[in-house]
Amino acid sequence: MRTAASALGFYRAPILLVSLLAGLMLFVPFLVLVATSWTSGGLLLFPPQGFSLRWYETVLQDPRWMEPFALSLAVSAAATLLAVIFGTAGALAVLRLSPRSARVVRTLFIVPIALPPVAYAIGLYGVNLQLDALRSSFVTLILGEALIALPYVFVVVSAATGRLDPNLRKAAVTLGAGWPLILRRVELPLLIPNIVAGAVFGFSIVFDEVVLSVFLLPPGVQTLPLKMLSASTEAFSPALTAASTMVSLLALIVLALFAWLSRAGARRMRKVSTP
Amino acid sequence: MHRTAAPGRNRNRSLLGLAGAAALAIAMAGCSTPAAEGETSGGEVVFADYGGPTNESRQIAYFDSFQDETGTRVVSASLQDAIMYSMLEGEEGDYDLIQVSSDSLIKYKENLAVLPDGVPRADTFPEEIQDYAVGGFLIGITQGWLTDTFPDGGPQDWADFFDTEKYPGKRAWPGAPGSYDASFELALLADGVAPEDLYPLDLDRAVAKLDSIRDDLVFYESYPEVQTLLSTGSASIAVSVTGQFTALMNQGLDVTVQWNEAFLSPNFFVIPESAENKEAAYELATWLADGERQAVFTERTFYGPANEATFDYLPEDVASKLPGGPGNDGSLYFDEQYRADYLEELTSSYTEWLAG
Amino acid sequence: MQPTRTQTEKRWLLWPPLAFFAIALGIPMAMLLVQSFDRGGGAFVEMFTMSSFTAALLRTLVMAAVVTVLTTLIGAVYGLAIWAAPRWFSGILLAWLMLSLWTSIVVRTVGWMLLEIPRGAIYWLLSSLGLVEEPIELYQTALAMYPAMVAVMLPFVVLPAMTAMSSIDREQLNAAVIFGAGPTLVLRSVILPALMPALISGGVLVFVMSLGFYVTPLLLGGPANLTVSGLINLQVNTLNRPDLGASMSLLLVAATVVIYLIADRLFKVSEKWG
Repeated sequence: MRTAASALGFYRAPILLVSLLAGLMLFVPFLVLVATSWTSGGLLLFPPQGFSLRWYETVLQDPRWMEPFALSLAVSAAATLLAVIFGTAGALAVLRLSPRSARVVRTLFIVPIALPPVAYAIGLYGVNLQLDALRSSFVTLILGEALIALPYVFVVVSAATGRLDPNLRKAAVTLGAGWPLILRRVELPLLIPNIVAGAVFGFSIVFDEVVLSVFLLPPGVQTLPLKMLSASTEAFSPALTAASTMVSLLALIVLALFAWLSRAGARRMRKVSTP
Repeated sequence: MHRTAAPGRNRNRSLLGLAGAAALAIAMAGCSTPAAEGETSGGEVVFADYGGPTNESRQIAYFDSFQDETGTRVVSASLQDAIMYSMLEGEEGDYDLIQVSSDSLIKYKENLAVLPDGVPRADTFPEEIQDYAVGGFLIGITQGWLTDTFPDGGPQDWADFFDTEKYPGKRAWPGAPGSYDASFELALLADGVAPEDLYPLDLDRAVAKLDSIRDDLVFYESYPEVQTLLSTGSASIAVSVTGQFTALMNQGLDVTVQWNEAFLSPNFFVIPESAENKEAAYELATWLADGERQAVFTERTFYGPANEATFDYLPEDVASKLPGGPGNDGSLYFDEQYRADYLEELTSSYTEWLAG
Repeated sequence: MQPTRTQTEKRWLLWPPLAFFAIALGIPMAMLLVQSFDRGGGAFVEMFTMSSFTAALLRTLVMAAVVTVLTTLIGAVYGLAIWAAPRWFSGILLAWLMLSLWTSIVVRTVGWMLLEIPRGAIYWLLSSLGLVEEPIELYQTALAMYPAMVAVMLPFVVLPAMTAMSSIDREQLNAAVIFGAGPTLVLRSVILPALMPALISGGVLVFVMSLGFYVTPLLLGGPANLTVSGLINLQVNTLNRPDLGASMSLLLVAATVVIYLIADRLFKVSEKWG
């Protein structure tokens, strides 16, 4: 930290100030939302009317909130897993291609972001209608969400593949290592931070995705964003912001825990390697 | 814009198990429908509406008892327009009953199921839609405000609405592309056109009138924003569907709804020819036409009933607050045929005005 | 031996994702293409005769460009701050970023609405401080919509930027400082080169994502801010013209590809990525 601070010199203060302002841009809307969720009234309002946790109770006790939450976790996890596998493979494959075909593949991997969700959802819904077996399953939904998450994994991982030292691979090859071994022992470990970051991104996007859910879920089943949408139909219910606050805090805790664990893990590793 | 589906309870139970296997869900085996097993009841019927409190009211007023009585489960789905249109055009789809208003009925009549003779008709609705309309309710589109805003009495008609000197403050106004609601009609009324001369609409004149008030408008993209804008005092008057004013009243706020020159529009459900559970849908249709059950729904939502018999079960003070209720004279009806024929023109004119 | 080795690698790394694309992207795109020719293919011509479409297209591009520039600049500073701030402060910055990222976009937009409406939270704060009496005129102006959009996009620049910063060699930095490199030199020759690839890949991501904005600009910026995505929704949901919606979608995808290829040439995105 010391070095970073002194290296920036007189730039440091303005940088911190601007970041504080930008941070408020992120935090103040969140604060307003949290405030609305502890209202004792039935309207989503700022300033809130009184204080109570009744909307948190409502959400936690209502299976019509908790089941969509569980379903969202499951669908997003499955989709993210697919996206991580294909996105990382793609990012590594691009390294091995000629510049021209690399460019084509790279572009292909970006396309899903540009696809308007409604259009994509209708396309997939059409597939569902053609194949009756898919209609009451989550297959198209998970595949669709995976495609949506894929570019995020790909881009974030690609940003790190550039840092892989080609000589490292050459050296390993000379030593007779096969490519799966190189992949597992040399390349993937170096990419782990970016793979995790990409997965977090992808998951957060998919977890919040609603348009595909509307089209592709079997009637009568909901994901969390769909439930949230319904809690803002006709009336904004404070249950909406209560649920959203809990999700954000839960995500924050999980991520912090994860960061702490991995840091602890790294420390242990260092201790082992330098006795 | 805001769609929903209320969950089917049995179906969702096994979802928790699915969540536990999150990481494994990737295996396609884990992706099969949770309803695959353990269903013993006598079938289901898929009911597509816009969710929210209205759907909850339906659940309480109709669906719960219907399920107990017949064993047929009513699955509420969040209505998605693209699915709706393809079914209205005769293609297959998930829904059995779909919420529409008259203009869609008029447009897609040939692909809709005609109700069998045994199903009671919606006798407060126009003759020509009665053979198709199920579970109907009358909505109003009009102006409303918190009564405190104008202690000496608020706007009496649309001309007053456009008078920003006399009634200052922002007006909450529909701003979603294509959501013209009653915008052209009320602008023309404010400009002095007589109600009987409204149609065909003079769009240029209406747009010119709308332009004159644009700076005093605050736009909403979805209906519930109306409640936020009014209750915070960010808007002094709102033009909206009456359900929004009801929602505010249900929260204990004193709201005045101006029924004079309000536009009334029957909303209801239709059964597409391609629906999979038509028989169950007819059964549900009969259930929905019952006056006593409609009264339960009406007292919760303050939408006007589809059957005259419902008024027998309603207290005086509820009836007087309903669209088309006793004492609420001066309300008007759309020319639904015109609105069906000119859907595209109306939508694009309004969208262009909004984007202007 | 070398080429065959590369061949197997390619087969195992490239083909599975490509197969996935063929299924998950190819099939729906084909259905989209079929749909766009539903009424004889006139939709492709028709959309360019619609003034609302061409206006929306231009508006969307400008909006996405503005959001991208703002987000990249602010995101770079934010990422730098997390790197250079005292631990407690960077912890807060990071927590704020995560809280925002994990709040549903629909809900966040509602939050901005509650802030910005004439008598919303901003008005509440200012009037309790005695600074304003009249309702504020912020809601549904350009000033109201850009902060919200930048806030949505910020994580997509900041997180890559952070990863890039963490790869800077502390020793190298130390050496530079010890040998008397001033802050400007350090920034220019150590930090920026490390940051650039992340900013470019993040920026490209932000631009393409920003093309999809729909509700946020309409709600917070006002109904004059109809974007292409909004128009596509209108075709599909209100006008029942899936053919127009499909052709507009295809055009949006094509435009993205072209823009991306141009950016690739101009900024050498590919090289930055390795």
